[in-house]
Amino acid sequence: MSEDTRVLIIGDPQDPIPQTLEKHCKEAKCQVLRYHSDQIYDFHPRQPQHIVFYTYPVQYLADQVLGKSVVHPYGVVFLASHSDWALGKLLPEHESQVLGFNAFGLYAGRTAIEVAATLKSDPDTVERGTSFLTNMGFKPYVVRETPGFVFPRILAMLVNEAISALMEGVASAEAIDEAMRLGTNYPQGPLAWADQIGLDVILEVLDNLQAQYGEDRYRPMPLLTQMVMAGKLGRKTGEGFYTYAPEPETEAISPA
Amino acid sequence: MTNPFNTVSVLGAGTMGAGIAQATAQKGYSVRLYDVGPEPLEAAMERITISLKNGVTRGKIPGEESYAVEMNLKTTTSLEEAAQADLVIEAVPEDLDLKKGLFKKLDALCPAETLLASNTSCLSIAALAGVTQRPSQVAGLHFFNPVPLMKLVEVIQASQTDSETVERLVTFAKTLGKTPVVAKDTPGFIVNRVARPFYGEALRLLAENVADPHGDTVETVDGVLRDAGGFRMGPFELMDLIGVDVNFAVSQAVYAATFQEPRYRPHPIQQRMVDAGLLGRKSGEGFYRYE
Repeated sequence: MSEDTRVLIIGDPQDPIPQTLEKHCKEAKCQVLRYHSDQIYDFHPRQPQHIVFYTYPVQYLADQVLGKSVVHPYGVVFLASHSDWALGKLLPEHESQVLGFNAFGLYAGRTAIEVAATLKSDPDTVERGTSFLTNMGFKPYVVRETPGFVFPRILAMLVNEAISALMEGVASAEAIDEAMRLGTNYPQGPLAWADQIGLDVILEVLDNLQAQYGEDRYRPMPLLTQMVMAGKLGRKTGEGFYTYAPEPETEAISPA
Repeated sequence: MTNPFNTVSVLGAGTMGAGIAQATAQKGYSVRLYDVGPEPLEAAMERITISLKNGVTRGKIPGEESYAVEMNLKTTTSLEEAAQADLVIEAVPEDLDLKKGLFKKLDALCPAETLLASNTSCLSIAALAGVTQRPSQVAGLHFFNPVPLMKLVEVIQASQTDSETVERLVTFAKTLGKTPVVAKDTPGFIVNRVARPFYGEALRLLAENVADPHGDTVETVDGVLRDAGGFRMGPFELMDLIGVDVNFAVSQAVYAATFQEPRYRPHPIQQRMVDAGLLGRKSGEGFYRYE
């Protein structure tokens, strides 16, 4: 069955999530197409796609890119999200075929993926989507469409709390991270974790939680907003709560 | 590293007190474990004996450290005797009035140079220092359960605590083979504060039944945090292990100490479960059932 499954992955070439999805789908011998969102305007598939992964933040482009019937009538569209809601609304032509997904775990080499069923998702879509992910070697967990999913919501709140402690001078960033690793066995300190995922992403999750629930508990700490404004987004910009050496050049200069 | 103290007393023979006494005696300090009556002390010594036996069998505790505990650890029901130490670590129940009364007595009984430390996980060190005539020699020394295994010690500096006291306690923690982190005297210090959302948000997700109708929310949330987050235990398993009542007490303490900061608001589910006696592993049922 895999050989006949056509998978379209739309994502940033630098992002490890579409890379990992492609790797798993190719290993399962699916027919995989992978596009940058800029290229997708020139994409006119001869056959509709069974599975579509859209791994950009969904608030832009998804409707324009996927509005032109690239999806098979029994296909499933996975829209990446860590904060968005009413995902089905973005693709009115396919609303019963849309599932939200969050794959933050893939950044750390884990295979669990959260799959969000929207109020409009057809039960068959949930069934087909989760079996597909299982066949690709992922571990899907189905949740309802909920602000910030499960893991991004809890992680963003842990990060926000760690930033709050840092702002108040309770301890240094290193001490806070070390305390959480050793005192309660967290796999990473929250501040180093924020650097890995991106401070901009953490801020989006919190902003969305605050907007959705209208509750004070979700307000992002001013230091987080300031760091995002200053471009200190974590590993991807070389600096967040910690500083990172630049990535080694792909073409190493050989010694003379 | 030279030991900064010769004699150490631990007050309170509960789980934490016994653990601290064991860990300290293992490293060669002369330790007195104090409690108000002989029963809790006997029970504590039994737990320590089992802990040492298991530790030695599993190769986690060297044989000579087990022997060191036999040689170095004594018990007493006399506070006057326990007060004769270079360092006194208080590990009695988390009741501020009880602790304040004890610190006041210790201040009168202990030699002038004795340092007084509290193992409180969230009460104010400033309040304890404030009832003594030696506030600069009072600090927090927060160990984690199970003490012989957990590496972290939070050394808590109140506004009155002087830097020499902090340095000596940092050195002391290192001589126990622990990793000390210094934190300011604020509600929940580091760990019990930063970890609050791990439980608080999980409880809200449970109240919202986020996994319904596809699955069980408790299992889904724990599964996601283990398999996507890499946490050793999900929040519900962990609350069951810690004790739903103990976790609730910490939530309430941090919430009260911050004058109702909304991020720390406990959840009604916690109150209901404590009311119903669903305390986790120790009662046979919490978020999960245990055989």
